[in-house]
Amino acid sequence: MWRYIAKRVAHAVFVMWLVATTVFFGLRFVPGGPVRAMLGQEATPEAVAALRAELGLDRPLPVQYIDWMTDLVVLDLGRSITSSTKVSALIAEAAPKTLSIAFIGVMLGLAIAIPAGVLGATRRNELADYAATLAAFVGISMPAFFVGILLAIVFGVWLGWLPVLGYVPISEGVVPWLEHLLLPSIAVGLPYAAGVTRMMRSSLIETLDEGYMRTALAKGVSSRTQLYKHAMQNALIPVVTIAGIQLALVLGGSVTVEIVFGIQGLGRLLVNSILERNYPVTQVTILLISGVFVFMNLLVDIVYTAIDPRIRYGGEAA
Amino acid sequence: MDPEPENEEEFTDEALSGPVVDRRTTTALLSAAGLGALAGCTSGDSGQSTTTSGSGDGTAGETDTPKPETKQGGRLKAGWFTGSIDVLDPPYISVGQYFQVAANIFNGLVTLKKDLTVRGDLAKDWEVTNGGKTFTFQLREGVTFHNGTEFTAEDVRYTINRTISKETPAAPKLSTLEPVDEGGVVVEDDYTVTLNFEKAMAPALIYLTRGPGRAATIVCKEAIEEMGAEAYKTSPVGTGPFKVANHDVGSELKLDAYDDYFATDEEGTQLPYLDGVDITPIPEAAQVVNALKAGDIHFSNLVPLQNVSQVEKANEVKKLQAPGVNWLGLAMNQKREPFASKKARRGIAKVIDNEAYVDTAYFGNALPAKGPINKATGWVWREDKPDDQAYAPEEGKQLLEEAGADGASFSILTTKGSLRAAKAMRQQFTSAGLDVDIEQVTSSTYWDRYAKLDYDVTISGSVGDPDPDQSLWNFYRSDGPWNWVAYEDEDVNQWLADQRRALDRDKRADILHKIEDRLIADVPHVYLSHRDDIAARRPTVKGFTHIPYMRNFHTVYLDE
Repeated sequence: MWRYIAKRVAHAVFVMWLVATTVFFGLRFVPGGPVRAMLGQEATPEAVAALRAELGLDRPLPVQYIDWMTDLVVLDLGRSITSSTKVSALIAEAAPKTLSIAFIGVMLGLAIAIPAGVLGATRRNELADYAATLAAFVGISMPAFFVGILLAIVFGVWLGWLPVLGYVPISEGVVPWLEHLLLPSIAVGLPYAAGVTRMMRSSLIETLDEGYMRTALAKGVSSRTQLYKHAMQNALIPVVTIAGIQLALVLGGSVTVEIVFGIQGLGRLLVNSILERNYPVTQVTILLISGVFVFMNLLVDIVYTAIDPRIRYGGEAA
Repeated sequence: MDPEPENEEEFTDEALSGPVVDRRTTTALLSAAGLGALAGCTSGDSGQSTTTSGSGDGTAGETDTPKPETKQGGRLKAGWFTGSIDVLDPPYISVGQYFQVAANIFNGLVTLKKDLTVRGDLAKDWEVTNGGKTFTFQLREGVTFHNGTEFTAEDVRYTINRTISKETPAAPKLSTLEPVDEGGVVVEDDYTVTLNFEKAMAPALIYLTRGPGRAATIVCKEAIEEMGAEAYKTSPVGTGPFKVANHDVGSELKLDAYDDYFATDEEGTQLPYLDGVDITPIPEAAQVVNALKAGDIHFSNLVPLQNVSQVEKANEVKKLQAPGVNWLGLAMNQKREPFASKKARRGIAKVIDNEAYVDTAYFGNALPAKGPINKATGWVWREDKPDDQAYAPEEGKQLLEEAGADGASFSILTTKGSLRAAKAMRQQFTSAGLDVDIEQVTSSTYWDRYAKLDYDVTISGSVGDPDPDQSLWNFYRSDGPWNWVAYEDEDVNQWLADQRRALDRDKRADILHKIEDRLIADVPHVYLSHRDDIAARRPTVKGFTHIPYMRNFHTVYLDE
């Protein structure tokens, strides 16, 4: 088993190196550089050359690459080209915001999706089912930023209930924190809920149609117990998988929603840095996001070895 | 081939000789820089301009005049229509939205008034001698930086030396200054400093303003050395009405009132009135207006032009509008066919209907342009400009045909920000039978390609010209740093140099008109528009003076 884990860790490290290398060279092959965008029209060619030299952008690519790699190994993430702020500080500022939006978004999404899915499955082809299905399709079809703008207009501008701009850290109070995050979280949570609802409904319908469900009913189990004790447990397995995969949707939605609500999270940081060709920031942000996915996969693989002997031995036998 | 004519007739005038220029010449000199009102200020017997009388700040008559007891306190929440405010260190700023912020943190030697004339800022008086080459500034005493350090003439020297020696983007503004250590900047005593230019520099004062000038916006040596240049870039220390309390780049910039700021209002009340300003960058156009309407912000530094009508309709938001100090034109790369031909360029100009273009591209929030000189600079503005570029589609098509450019195909290089304008432009070309497509690139690619003349045509111009010299000098000299259309005209080179030496305002205006006429006829750009400068506020925001292009908050207060 240890050999297997070691192999998986080595594999993960290799993937991360591949991501880092691809991002590094990929970014530099995109036309346009950061210097002219930073200095704007007024810069003389001398000023452009001077800044390029100062930023080390005039050195050969392989040299820049090796420098960056060695800095990465000692966890020196560098500084933003545009504002000279430390990249680590920018990330530390941004990550809690994105995580907060994603967390509340997922919680809200699940709180909507599971009851809605159950409703759809148990009242199949009734009005409630059609309503839930329609809502889910609308949810899947509307991108998060559009939902965000609608929410801002309705709850911010018309009703004036919630702020439409900015972020307040939780240290300044849970209520203001939640107030500022509610609309963006709903905006990313709704499309997420829509996908999960569809999966919950079909999975539950499938389970309810299984033979052992009929047996349980025949044995005199109440329909409530049948649903919540027996059917839900089995139906939830694919839902959990989908809920996990759909997390990517939440993070993706967060990129545009952060821009709409003026929150400097990882998504907005990434988009800005790409537009400005702010190489150090783009590289580290992409590395961080892919690192999270690689790490989650690694974790799942390792957990599987603990619960599924076939993986534990099969890997070595093969 | 920098034009450096030896002919200095305009100021070998004997009135200019002697160590101190007399009042009449000072007036003429200041007028030459477009500083009419300032020249008015010089009517004292010293021949110098005193701008501090009473107000300490010279803003008298420019602001609403509220009752004193209502003016104190409050934090202004302001939205900035940008992704982040990356640079606040003045000479490094190349984005107008950044120096709108920086002008609240720093002071220049002088600053702009509402009519784009100049008043004293850290300088209380100055005199111009030596035929317009020497500027001697009397500085305010008792001014301190936000870290408590006292401001003296040495800081002026340090600032200018830093701007030039670090090759900052603002350095070219001081390119005609003598080398700093060889008499370019002379510290006479703690509160007197002299700048010496190689050549007379009629528009010099404009380049010494805070905001658009920013070549000599005074920075704090101690703070830079203590915190390091990197930290200073985003959280700088100045002498201005507000100090940086906290700056999370991209997220929020908190400015607190600087309690020891040197200026007071007419009643002697300490400025600024506000306790602070909290600035949030908002990159999404629709959200700027939403946030204003919802009351999440009190003030927006810009209103995206497509959202102006929403602002006009909303009761809870007031529009602030001033004539733009800018011009936009269609730049045509003369290194590429058919744009080398003047006839073809003029033909293109004549098939563009400016009025229709402005309506489509800017929702009507712009003045159709006939030339590069903008209306905000009233002293040199003319309603009546030559009509070589005026809309005349049949004549235009005729010219294109004669130049062999009828049915020419080319592409408009654009960024996302100018996409709408590019589409409006294509509409015009298509109806004239030209085969035009649009090439959209990111802004970093855009500047790269534009500067390397790797484009056919693009919509471009100057965003801030408080004085015409600022853009004409850079765009149209043969070796001008922004001459990315490959324009060359010996007369224009000569006249550009002449207008810098012309100390009489009327004479200078005459030369500038000559330049403008030639440019309109030669069509290096098809002149398209002067976009209005539009901001917005909630009704509770009072005391704001809308100087075109500036967003100064020292006299603002909240009436809630």
